[in-house]
Amino acid sequence: MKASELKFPGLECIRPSEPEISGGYTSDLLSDVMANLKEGDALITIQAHKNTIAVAALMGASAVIFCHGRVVSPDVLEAAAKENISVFVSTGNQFNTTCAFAKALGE
Amino acid sequence: MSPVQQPEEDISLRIQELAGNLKIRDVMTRHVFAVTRTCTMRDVQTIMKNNAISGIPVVDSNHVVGMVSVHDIMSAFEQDWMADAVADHMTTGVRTLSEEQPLSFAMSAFSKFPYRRFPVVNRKNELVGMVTLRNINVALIQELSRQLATMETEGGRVTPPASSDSCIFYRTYRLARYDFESGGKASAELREQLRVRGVAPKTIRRAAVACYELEINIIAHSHGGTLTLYIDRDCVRITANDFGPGIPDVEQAMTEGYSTANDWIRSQGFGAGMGLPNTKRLSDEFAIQSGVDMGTMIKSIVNLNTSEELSDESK
Amino acid sequence: MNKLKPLIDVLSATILNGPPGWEDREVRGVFASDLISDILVSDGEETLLLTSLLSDQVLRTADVIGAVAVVLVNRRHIPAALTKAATKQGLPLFSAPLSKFNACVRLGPLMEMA
Repeated sequence: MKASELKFPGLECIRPSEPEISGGYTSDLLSDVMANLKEGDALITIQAHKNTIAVAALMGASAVIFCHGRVVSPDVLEAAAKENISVFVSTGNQFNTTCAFAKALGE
Repeated sequence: MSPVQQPEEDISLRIQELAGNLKIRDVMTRHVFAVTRTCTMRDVQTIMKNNAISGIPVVDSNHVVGMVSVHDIMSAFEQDWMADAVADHMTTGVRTLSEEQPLSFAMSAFSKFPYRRFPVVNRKNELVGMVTLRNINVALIQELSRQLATMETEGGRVTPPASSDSCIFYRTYRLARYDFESGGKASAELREQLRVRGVAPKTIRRAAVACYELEINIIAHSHGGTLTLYIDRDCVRITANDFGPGIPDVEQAMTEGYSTANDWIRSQGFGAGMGLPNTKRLSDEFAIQSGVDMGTMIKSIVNLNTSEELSDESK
Repeated sequence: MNKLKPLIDVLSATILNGPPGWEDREVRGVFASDLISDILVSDGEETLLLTSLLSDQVLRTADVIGAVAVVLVNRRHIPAALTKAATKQGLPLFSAPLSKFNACVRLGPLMEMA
């Protein structure tokens, strides 16, 4: 699924990128992400900082979805642009964002 | 004569905490020399000299009508008024403090007015004592020594100040840097204390989370410190005190998502930059003061018996 | 409102600590997070907590927010101390073989129905 096609209530795309979103992984522990995220996954997390983008890029994530309506700082967006990763913000928590994401993706 | 009514904002949190529940009555000098209007300036000078005091209230049927200071006596010497009645040369419009007022009122009064002493009156407006900065310093140092001594001997158990009659639970916990093992002890005890008293679950949760955030804050971000729980019938007061390094920009620290946590702290599941804003959100009253290289003091008050109980029932 | 038992079943979770009557405890919401700070900000009541954190602090935090139970996701080896602490606290504790993502996805329909 393209970033522009991913839609559910409370989700806002701040920065679309080309890579297809093929799955999801929900975590706030970067070590966990490094161990388990699969290429093409969208990372669903509350860790809205630059390190998250760095790890997501390393693992080949297609997108990051920041929960709780986190304000995303310019340096995070800049890093995402460089790494060609889509950035979304969801007003929901990780549980309902994950559920809605999976539904939208048709899992 | 006008009574002093002052807000407490201008006094540091640390001092306020130390002053705790002390009232002016607890620290004032009760043995007071006072004179009547008809005494002479020379009488006053003699009393001052013999008793090494530098200010004497003038009373009329126990009501304070004026003060005579060393300065007034010096003027009297110069002007040759020593045989005159004090009523002619005393300072009028004297500010008094009430014995019922908290000690912090007296501290505010000293920082606001240039006087070195205040007469203290009872409810009937009768003179019952005098309070000087020395009284306050001695009281604070005594309280500090008492707290330190009990902490040393009883491993954190500090008995409440003698004057706090409404206190239900009072305890101080010592927290060391990165000692995540100890984090949560105070909040667990707080939960239990509130639970057995039948406090509404929502209120318990607010107080416990605020307490836990402050515990973790000391452990993750300071060189170590203490956390004090104080429960009375109306509220829970949580005071976190640390020994540094202090917060250079408190406003920034109060911003959601801002954190100075290192990777190790984050790997423990902390450091998302929500602790202080969350504590503030949960508190009915919240105050923070910090000095770089000195430490940080945070006070959080959660009111008990609030409308939360009612709203819980209506759900 | 859901009972705890069907939620644990759908996760194929194993019981690490199941105090008497855990099956019938009621769950109002699910909260998934690996950050203590985040869990502490949650407002929900009677929450089932999903996390991959394995520190003692998780159990203390669960206690502080009054969580109904904790499900540790993603894990096979649970430190014995953690189970012991849960037993001492009387907190139901489970271990699920699923990722947090998949655990959420499985719980979603059940929570929606309730």
